[in-house]
Amino acid sequence: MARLGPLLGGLAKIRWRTLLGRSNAEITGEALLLLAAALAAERVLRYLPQWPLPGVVAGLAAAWLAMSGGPEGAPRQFPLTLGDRTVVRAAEVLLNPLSWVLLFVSARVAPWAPLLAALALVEWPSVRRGKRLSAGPSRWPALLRKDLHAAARQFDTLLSGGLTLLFLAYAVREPRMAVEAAWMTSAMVALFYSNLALNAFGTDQGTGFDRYLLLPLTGAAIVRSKTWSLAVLLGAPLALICGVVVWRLGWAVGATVVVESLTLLLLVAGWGAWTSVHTPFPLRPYRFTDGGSVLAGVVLFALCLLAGLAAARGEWWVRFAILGGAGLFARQLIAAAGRRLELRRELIRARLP
Amino acid sequence: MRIRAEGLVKRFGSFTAVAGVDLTVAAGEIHGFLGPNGAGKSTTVKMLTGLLIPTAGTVAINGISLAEDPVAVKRSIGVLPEDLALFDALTIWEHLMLAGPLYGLTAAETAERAGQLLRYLDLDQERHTEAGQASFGMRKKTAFAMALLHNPKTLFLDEPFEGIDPSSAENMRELLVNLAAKGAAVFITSHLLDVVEKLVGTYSILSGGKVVASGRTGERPLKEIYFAHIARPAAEEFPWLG
Repeated sequence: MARLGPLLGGLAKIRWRTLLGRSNAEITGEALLLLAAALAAERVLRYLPQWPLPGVVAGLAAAWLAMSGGPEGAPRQFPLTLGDRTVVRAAEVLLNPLSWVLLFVSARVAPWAPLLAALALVEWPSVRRGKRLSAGPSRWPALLRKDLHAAARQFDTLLSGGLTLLFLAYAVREPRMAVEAAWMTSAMVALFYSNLALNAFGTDQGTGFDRYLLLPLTGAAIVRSKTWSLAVLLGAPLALICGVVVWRLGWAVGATVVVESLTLLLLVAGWGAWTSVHTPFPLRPYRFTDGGSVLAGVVLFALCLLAGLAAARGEWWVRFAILGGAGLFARQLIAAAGRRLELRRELIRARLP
Repeated sequence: MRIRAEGLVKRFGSFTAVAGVDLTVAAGEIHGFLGPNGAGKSTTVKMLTGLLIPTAGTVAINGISLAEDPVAVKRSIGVLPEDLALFDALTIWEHLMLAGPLYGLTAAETAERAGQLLRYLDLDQERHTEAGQASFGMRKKTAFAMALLHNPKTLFLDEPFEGIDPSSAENMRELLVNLAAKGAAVFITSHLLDVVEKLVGTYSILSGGKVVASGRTGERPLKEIYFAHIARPAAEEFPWLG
């Protein structure tokens, strides 16, 4: 014990701010939040019943509460971000049962899969002749590496990675794994990634966005390249989760998860492309992602929940119909986002530092 | 004409940054675009390269309308923009390897050209440095190399020599002269009148968003022409200085 004092004292003196750009208090607080999130997820898995309809209403209200804060148009602090008085807000959100009902309900339908490739295949033929992105693969590694690097410096990404690992450990250890655990984890992973999906240019500073504009690319090609990066980012943890579901629960459950995942992924990719060109804002490294537009977040939640509820209560053909609708939705919105990018490039540039 | 702009106007709200600029630059010509800070030079370059949408006016580069086919225009030009437009997370080498294939080069061609450019610009040792960690001069040379990589017909360079070491600046100058000699048009903005005078064949001087003078160099010293149109602040004594 006598040796512990100096050790703790030494740790306290480490200039963590220099290492992470954060104060000790902020880092400690966010570490505690991480722990609280894990514990709360475990509580939800055990005790929350399946209340879909009340969950939708309560969840939307919770989402509104969680994402509000700051004037319209200004970068918003996601409530999990610490600083100023957001510790209180973060605690409220984490402990707010409404938020967890939202997570639980969305978990029922939100296990996404690495299927943006399908989205790209759907969208690809619509590119105008003579202006399409060249098909050579050599550009992708660099663009992907850039986006991975930027995403890896977001606490949301690190948190979702940690949650995925937590789930994998649980799935390996627990022989009677509940499918809700996979849904829950996937929903949380998706939730933390959704701000990246809704704000695809946030990871590029303004100068990076300028480079996109200087390269001989159409707006559609730029949006697609971002979508590919997102596919890999989201797909990696979710593929692991889906794989474990298939392994532990079999293909019958796994197939459901995959179809629902496809649906959700298409919805989020389409809506994310649209909001990325309409409400861009800069992302700061080593912070939880700023919330962005409240409306964009609420619409995303509503889309996912409604589609998921419809799929959960339907037969297989209903699920495939919803999947087709989601594909059409994504195709149209991504194409529209590409066209809008060319018109809105100055506004997007002005909002990125 | 490689560059033809007519009646270019750019307004930001009630502020008019560029107020009706007409420009023509022929093939094989190096054109100096001069003016004081805030004259509208960079805004004009951004409109010519597609970064900004003109409020009014038309732009045609290499005979292609920028408004009608921006991708074809961008494929035929090289740009060193004011803010360099680099991705902080990519290395110098990755920037070049990313750009080449988008302009139709194979990976092997890109690697060969990129290696040669980096060696010539004294950047080869730093090729694996991320742009975000590189010095300003290294970043500028990277953006310059990206602009040249695909052998553009028209080159736009916004302040290319500021912040560059003398030997690299000299090499850059030689590259530009050679490029122009082979028929490319080079459009340069700069504040370094002495450097520009040795390089350019034609010039335009911008003030208050308008071209106040233009012509060929060599008839009169460029500095004399410049200060004939751009007023200097009155001389003052600074007894407290020194």
